[in-house]
Amino acid sequence: MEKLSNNIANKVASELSLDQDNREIIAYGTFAFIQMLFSIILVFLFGLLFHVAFEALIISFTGAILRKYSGGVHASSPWICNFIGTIVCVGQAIIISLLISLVVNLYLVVIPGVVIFIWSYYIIYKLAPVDSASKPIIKMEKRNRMKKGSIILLSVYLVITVFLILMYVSSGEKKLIFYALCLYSGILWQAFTLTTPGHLLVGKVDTFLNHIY
Amino acid sequence: MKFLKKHLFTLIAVVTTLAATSVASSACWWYAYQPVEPKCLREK
Repeated sequence: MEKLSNNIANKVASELSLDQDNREIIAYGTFAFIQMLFSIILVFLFGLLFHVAFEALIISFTGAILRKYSGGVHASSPWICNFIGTIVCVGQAIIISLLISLVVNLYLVVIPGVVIFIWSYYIIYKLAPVDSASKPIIKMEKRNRMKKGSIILLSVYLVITVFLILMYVSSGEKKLIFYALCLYSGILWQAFTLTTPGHLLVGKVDTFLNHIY
Repeated sequence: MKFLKKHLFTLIAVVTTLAATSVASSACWWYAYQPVEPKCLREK
């Protein structure tokens, strides 16, 4: 993926006679674009295979958008990142789908929701943003802006969840509970990747996948 | 043809530069992999 981005950047930079800095920026942007597209396509295709494509995409987008502000643990290569992302999103969507087919009631959504949101607010307030060696966040001003952004985004998720629950109460549509639980999963996974156990788990999976690759 | 090619490359350059600056202003990009950020995009 990095090789492809570099090739595209080299071609664009030579055709437009751009300098080294611009070439690096184009390679970085191309890589970001390709990786995002690739991970969305993977989640969609595997989700389709298990009939949970839309739900898996909700989990993926919920976590990914929050991650832009809160940061989190990183994999050592793009394919490991895509592998973990796909397993986590599709796996959680399948579990929620099974849970929903067994039991649906308001307590199933409200009680875990209260616990997940309180815990996530605490973790984000305490730990966000979690940066990496590849992209360190040095300035205090930016760190505060990222933390504030994470908390605002989490509050937006809370409003959406409350809205979904109220819609469920008035219409009785089971899908709305499903969507609320998908939001919880995305938030829960993302908050977990900020913690030490999250770093340990992803680190161990990363080492294992690197070993078998 | 040459005119079109130049416009296409300019479009790619604009879109990818926008994507790069968007990543630079956030904590990380999409999921769990972060490529090394170019020095010229790093905060001083």
